[in-house]
Amino acid sequence: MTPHPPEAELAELAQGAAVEARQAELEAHLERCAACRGVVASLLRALTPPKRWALVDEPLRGC
Amino acid sequence: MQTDELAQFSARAQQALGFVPGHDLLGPWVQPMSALATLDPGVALACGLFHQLPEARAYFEQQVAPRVRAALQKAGASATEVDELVQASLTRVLVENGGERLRQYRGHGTFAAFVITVALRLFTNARTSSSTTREASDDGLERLPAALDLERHLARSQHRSHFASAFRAALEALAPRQRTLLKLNLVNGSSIDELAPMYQVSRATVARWLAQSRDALRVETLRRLSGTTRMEGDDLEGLLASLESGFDVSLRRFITEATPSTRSEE
Repeated sequence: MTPHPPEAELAELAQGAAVEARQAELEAHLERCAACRGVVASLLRALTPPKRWALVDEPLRGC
Repeated sequence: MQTDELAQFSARAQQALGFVPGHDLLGPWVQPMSALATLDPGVALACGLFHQLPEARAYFEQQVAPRVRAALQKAGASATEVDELVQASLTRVLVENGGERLRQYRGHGTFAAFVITVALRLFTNARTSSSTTREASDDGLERLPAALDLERHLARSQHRSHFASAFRAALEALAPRQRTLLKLNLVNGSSIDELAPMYQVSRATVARWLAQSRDALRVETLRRLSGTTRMEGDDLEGLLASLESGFDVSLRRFITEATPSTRSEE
């Protein structure tokens, strides 16, 4: 097992902002390391805004 | 020190602060931080915190800390843990090893996401060390066969171990990204909406990747199983039918049963 990547790199990975040369290595670590995968999964959850349904009470144009 | 990345960022931040006059209706810290934001908001905030600027600390408390708290709550931390972890995260980022972690932040992605990651790591470490019932290296996907709907067929046909080894081999045969995606989705409960930004692709693309991975896993498991066992007749037909019709349902059930604490209410 490789050492855990720095938190900064895990945060970059989760935001799609990882340095290209490190992307595959970080993904490979994530696949093997349940702890890091848990951190990233929680981060993804935190960064994703809750779904909101669009309001539909505006009058329809052209009707 | 001049070559130090942080020192360079700091110089830019100080310069930007010097050019900003007055204050803003929203608070005296808003204007300087807004000006810094035109350079790089995350790095500017990191510099401000490192140099103990009151404006940066105020900005952190008002804009970043609530997001860290919310992330920890979603991850299952108690109210007491949340307060402790926010402070511990800040200490870890700013103080430990002379701010070594802060220097690892390059401004790729938001500063809030960086601090949230540090907080989640602390939370995970605390939970792991305080519980002997949870395994840090627990990897649910490999244990998937035991939880599948196929159990009845496998028990009856006495091919449970064959199926488990075929499944593990099929899993290993997937590309690393496919395994990572499946584990994030099936074991950790990451949704398509959450995964799409990580890979910088659309939701539809992530959905397609996941479907392809599941199909590849199912087909390869079947192929290896039929090659290593001498199942035939009703046994093989029953197993094939279960694999074809119930695979996805079984996977979802496995997630619910095996990892009940991975998702909080949403």
